[in-house]
Formats: sequence, C-alpha cells, structure tokens
Amino acid sequence: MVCPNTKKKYILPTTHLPTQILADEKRTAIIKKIIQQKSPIFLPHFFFRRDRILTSTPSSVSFVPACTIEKFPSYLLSSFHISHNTQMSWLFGSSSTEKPASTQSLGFDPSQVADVSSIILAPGALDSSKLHPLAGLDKGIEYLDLEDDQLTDLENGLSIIAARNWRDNLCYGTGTMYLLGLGVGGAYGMQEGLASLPAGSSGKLKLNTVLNHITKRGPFLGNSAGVLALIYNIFDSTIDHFRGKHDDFNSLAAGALTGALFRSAAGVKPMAYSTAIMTAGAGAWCALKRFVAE
Amino acid sequence: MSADHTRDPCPVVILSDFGGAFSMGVIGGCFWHGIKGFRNSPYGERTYGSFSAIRARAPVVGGNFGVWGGLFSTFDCAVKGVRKREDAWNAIIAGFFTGGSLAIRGGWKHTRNSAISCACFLGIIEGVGMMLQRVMAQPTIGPAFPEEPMKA
Repeated sequence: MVCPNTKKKYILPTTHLPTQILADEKRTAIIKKIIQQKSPIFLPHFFFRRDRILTSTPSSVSFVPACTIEKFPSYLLSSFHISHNTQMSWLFGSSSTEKPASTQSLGFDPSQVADVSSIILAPGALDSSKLHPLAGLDKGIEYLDLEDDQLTDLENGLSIIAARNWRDNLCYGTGTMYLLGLGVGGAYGMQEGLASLPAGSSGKLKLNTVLNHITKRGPFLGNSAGVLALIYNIFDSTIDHFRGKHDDFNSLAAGALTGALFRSAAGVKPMAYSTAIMTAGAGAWCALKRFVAE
Repeated sequence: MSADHTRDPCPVVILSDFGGAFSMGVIGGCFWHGIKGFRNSPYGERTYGSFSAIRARAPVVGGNFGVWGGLFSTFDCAVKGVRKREDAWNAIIAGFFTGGSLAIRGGWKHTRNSAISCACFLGIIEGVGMMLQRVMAQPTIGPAFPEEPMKA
C-alpha cells in the first residue's frame, strides 16, 4: 500500500505472511519482554506506536508507517478470519463466493469502522480469545520491550526537546537560541529602522533603511546567542558525560563556564559579570524545564 | 528501502538544521580564521591574532552557514509538503529558492543567477550522493555458474 507522504510501497503482513517490511534489526531483537504499563496500544499481532505500527510474527518484526493505518484497511481485518486457502486473497484478490473457513466475532463491525483508534480504545473490543486461532495467540504474544524506546541512557537526561543524543541537544539548543536571537534582534532593528526613516524619501529607500537596520541587529544578536548556546551545550554534554547523570548543578556549572569563556578576553570584571548572568540564565532554564515537565 | 528514522519529522527538523549548520559554521570558522589570523599576524602576536580573528569572525561564518542551512531546511520542508513525495528534486527546488532568497537584495539578475547556481550545486550534491549510494550498496550475490568444462 502507498503512503501519501512517501510514495513508498509497503505490504502489510498477516500472521502467515512473515513479510519483512521495514527490517529494523535493532528492534527485531527486543520483542522478548513483557509490555510495561506505558505500553503501546496493541492489536493481536499489531503493536501501535506513536508513529508506526510494529507487526510481529513468530519469525519477524516489521514496522509500518502509521500513515498506512489511518483508515483501518479491510484486508487487515480480513486477516483475522483468514483461512489457509484464502490467506493471500488480499494480495491476489478473491472471488466473492469464497467464504472464510471460520468467521470470528471481532467485537466491532468492520464496515462501520472509519478509524483505528475507535476500535482499539473500545474496551473489550480486542479480546484475544475472540480472535482466530491461527493468530497463534494461545501460544503467547510476543511483546515489545519498551526499554529500548528510551531516548537516552543518561539519568534525568530528558529535556524539553526529546533529544536522542548530545548532537540533538546541541543542534536543537543552538538552533532555537540562534533563531530567537535573530528574531528579537531583527524586531529591535526593525523598530529602530522605522524610527529613523529618512524624511521625504522614496519607498525603496525607506525599505532599504529598515532592512539595513534589521540585518545589522538581527545577525549580531543571533550570532552571539547561537555561540553562547553552542558553548553551553558542549560544556553541558561534556559534564553530563563525565558525571554520568544530568542535574541542575551540571547546567549551572556549564552556564558559569560558558559565561567565563565568552567574555574571557575582555578582562576580569566583564568576565565575572557574564559568568553571573549565564549562571542565572542556566538556572532559569532549569526552572523552565521543571515548569514545563509538571 | 526503509524510511529514514534518524531524522526528525518535518517542522521541528528545521530548528535542528539551523543549529547544526550554525555549529558547523562556528567550528569550521574557528579553524579557518584561527589559521588565517595566525598567518596574518606579526611575529610575537600570532596567538593573540589568531584568537581575536576567531572571536571576530567565527560567529559570522556560523551565522552565514546557519541561515543557509535553516532556509534550505525550511524550503525543503515546504517543498515536501507541497509535492508530497521525497526525491532528489526536493533538494534541488529548495536550493533554488534558498539561493534566490539569500540574494534577493542584489537585484533581479543576481537573484536569478544565484538561484540557478545554487540549484545546480544541490543537483550535483544529490547526484554524487546517489552515485555513492549505488557504489556503496551491498553487491548482490549472483548465482554461481559452473565453470566451463575443459575441452578435450
């Protein structure tokens, strides 16, 4: 089937078609443990995750982009009451006289279903005993181990942005600060430019004046903010790495070091000021993170 | 061919690309202007010259890189949203718009030339990337043919 976004073709497997779709070897190894409380919503042999479903068969695990299940496909339903001789019918088409060998009550009417969540969220709708024995559920379901899903091994390592590693932290932090600086500086420059329009000049000259002011202020502030965020993130990740955990002291220390380095060439007094300001900034950032987390 | 799960989905990846390009520019600018400042300073002040060149110039290089990368990523996402497909043309179209919009203050001719050359540049990059991918792809194991029997 075709995803609207990617135009790539995926075949949805049934239990009897151990088709590798998106082979993800890393995750193939991890469906051995029990689902924890934060489990993904799961269908008999289809595990739904945030952005894709994991379909598992005794021999393979595959991922399908979630776009493929926005509408619950009829052949997917048909795989619940599929019989041996018609099991490829969704692929090759089946004659209308062909009836499934045994039809199971699904707990919902497939023709009425418009979207997946209405099925999976209905209590009792997916009782494994109601499903076809060929799904092999009496032998136990294979589960997805969500520990692998953790984004970072670091203690308290998760930030507002769900970063996977220090590079993500660096890129997102720097990018956000840079854009913020660019925007704030640009707005200030725009206001400054609008205030100092040459009187009685043409529209083009006025536009140029404003643009000149914006491009004078915006990049200056953006560059400074970006460099500060870059240095801060490098220090922060380094300290995290050596301490093996992340807490507010790491952030404060990273802020202090950043401030000291940033103004180290200007003398002792500016350096002290900038250290204090950056430490306070890091503290504010920690507070903001807590505030958002709650 | 599997989807690329190492990159984030579209609207947020712009932030990451801004930051990544900026960091790349700053770090590269440190090396570049460090060496340049060192070489262009008189003896005895070479270290100082190197550091002051870094301080003055590396953030600017970072800013230029960052704006380019971020704009490119923005246009890339926009093009993806409009075309609803992912191929090499996305990057080329995004490069066209990036080059054009960065040169828009230099006049119509400059904008046009810059857009076209930027699109060509991205086209070359995409082409080289595809070629590399083809070369690096694992060779398929062909059927083993029996050796031709010796003629008596």
